[in-house]
Amino acid sequence: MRFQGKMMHQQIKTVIAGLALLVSLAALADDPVRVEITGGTEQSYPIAVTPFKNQVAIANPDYNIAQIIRDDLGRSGSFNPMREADMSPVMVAGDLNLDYWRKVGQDYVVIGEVRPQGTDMYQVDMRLINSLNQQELVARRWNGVSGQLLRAAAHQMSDAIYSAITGRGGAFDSRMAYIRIDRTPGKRKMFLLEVADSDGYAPRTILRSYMPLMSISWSPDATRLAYVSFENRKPEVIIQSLDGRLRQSVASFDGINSAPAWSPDGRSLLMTLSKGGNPDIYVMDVATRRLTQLTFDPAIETEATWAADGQSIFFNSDRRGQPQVFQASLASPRDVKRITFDGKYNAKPIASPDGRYIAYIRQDVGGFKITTQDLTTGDSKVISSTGSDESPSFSPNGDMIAYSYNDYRGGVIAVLSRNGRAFTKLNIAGDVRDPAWGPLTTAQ
Amino acid sequence: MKNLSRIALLSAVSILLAACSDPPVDDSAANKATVVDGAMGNGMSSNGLKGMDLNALGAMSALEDDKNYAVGGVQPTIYFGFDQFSLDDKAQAVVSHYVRYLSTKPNLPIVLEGNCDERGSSEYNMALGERRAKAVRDALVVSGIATSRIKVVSFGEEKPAAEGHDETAWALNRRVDMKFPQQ
Amino acid sequence: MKKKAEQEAKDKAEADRKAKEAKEQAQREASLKKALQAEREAEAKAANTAMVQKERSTWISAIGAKVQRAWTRDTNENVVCDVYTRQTRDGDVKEVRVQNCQGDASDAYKRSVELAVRRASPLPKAPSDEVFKSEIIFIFRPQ
Repeated sequence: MRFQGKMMHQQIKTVIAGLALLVSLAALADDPVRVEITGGTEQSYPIAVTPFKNQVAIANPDYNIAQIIRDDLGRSGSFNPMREADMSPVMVAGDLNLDYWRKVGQDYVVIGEVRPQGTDMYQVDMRLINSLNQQELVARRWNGVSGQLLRAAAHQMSDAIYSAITGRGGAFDSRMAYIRIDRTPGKRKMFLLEVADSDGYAPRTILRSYMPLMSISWSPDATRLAYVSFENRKPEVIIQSLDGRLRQSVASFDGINSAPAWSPDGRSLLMTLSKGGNPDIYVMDVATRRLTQLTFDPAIETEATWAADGQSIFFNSDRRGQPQVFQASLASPRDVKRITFDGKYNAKPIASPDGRYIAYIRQDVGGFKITTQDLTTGDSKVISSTGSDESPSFSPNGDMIAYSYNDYRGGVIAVLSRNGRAFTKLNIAGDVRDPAWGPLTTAQ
Repeated sequence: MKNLSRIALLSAVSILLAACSDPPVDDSAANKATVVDGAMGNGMSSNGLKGMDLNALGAMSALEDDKNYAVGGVQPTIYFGFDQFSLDDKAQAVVSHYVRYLSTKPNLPIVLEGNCDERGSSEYNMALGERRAKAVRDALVVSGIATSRIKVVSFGEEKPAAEGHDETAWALNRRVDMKFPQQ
Repeated sequence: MKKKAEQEAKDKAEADRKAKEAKEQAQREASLKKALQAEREAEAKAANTAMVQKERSTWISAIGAKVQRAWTRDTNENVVCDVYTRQTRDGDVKEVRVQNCQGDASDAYKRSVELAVRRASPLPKAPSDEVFKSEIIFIFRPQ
């Protein structure tokens, strides 16, 4: 789904830039002519991910490798993958004809092949070629992949393509944790903590509770989750390993124990505690459980999140009367700097892994909306078109933001590209919310 | 060190293929094993992931009746405006009614559960729910109810009284429920 | 007699003078004619050069516009890059080299300027051999 308004804006920008074109002729006859090119258009990369040869060897239709890659790249907002229905069957079936793909405007072409290696075991090759300069950017083989791991292999291919073309890291071979509310008629409402692939496939339940669950945070090594559980009829901060071997309550003081956020080095956990009389931010050393108080204002301080470098935190405070985002360094937490100024309600900040942006929810015309802010310029921009947005979470490469909102049938988890170009509802059935995007599963 | 070895494994898996020629076949057992592990990463390979079957989690507390017991025909619920935690006249009337009742039961513990509507961020709402519950607590204390009898809990936006996504439902959800566990 | 001889001498001198004048006149005219001819040629040449310049300017503008339209990129980086290009007489781009970029240009950005030229190939064809230049350096400037 693309936003028309944005496209219009881009076209106008191009026209204006065209007028700025300058031509300067060389003074000497033998010198090369010099031409200035100003402007250009910011646009998604056109790419044709052709069906993998011998895809039919894989029986499960959910394991269509080319389609998984197209969907991944499309969600990022940096790519505009050609639909398979728009590809010439002759060109797809025949040998690679770069001239053809170039002529149909596809700068990049992906070809691949599947080979069965015994029962439910496959070898998959993938190549990425630039049709304009014929350069091969990626040529890789995934060997001995079981059927169960084919989607993971496809996500790794998407990541390889993504970083080869954009120069930025991938994000697709990662997981999404979230809360599902089971409202089966005739049964008690139940809350489930689930972990799925980054595209919402293969959901697995890791916890069930009759009482609410919320505010998931991944440990940076992707082995543990911190979250809030009301299982004892009050909010407590729980740490649980994904394999289920470890589960412990790390904060259950009087009042609120909430909003856990794991530090980039995995050693400490930010949290909100109201044991001191009103909600304030604390940092806990996970190994020793030692607490250090970071905020001291009598207003509400909550929703703390780490800056990318782990040296400072962003948090929500209503010390000015309504929720706004502030920043404080760990070294001198009392030196607090206000970060958001536009809008009356800016809450639930999260910092991008590259440290350049924060995202938060802003009350705006039309409801609560995902908003990004460039920390260098201070410019903020509402990027969502939904109006009940909550819980923004950056992808590991910072190019996408997962969040939840309500539509007519309940909670939905969606992925929005940071540039605002692409919006995708994840394919997770039921009433779901509070997504937390985990770190990359494999080192890249 | 851990990362380095993982990168090494991954590069072993991702054999670089020469252009326009058949890729070299690599069928060494080590690589095969690495691909599988590499594909799912550590700590959460599909067989390593054990769902904790905690069906009973929260069941004990859930056995406590979630219903409010109305005394003298007055619902023990106090309602608030959006992002508000001050008590209006109607709210004060509910508080006064229950102050009279609680004065006759000096040993009855009181739990004040603060709640919000779903709008805005859930953690901020958790804090706002506590603020609402504490506003009711303060009103009770001012009227002579001992602080020691009162427990304050916030459920934020997690325990709506009405499930809709409109102002009617939201107005019903911005509330403090008074509960008397030994009633 | 003497008078007659004098008269004759006088006449001859007069005739000689006239002849000389006529010759000189002819020479002057020839020279002028030559000069005018040269000027006309120079004017024609100048006019032709101006026309070539004008046509080349138009042609280069068309090339620039085409490359500018073909320049798409994913993100904005405020980096100026020079791209050397060699083309055939028909406008087919044969060589594209990103020569130097100011500041930290990412690989993706450098590729975007190279691909802009390749995507614009074939470039608009030059109207004549005189207008045509094989080598062009594009200076890519985002803002």
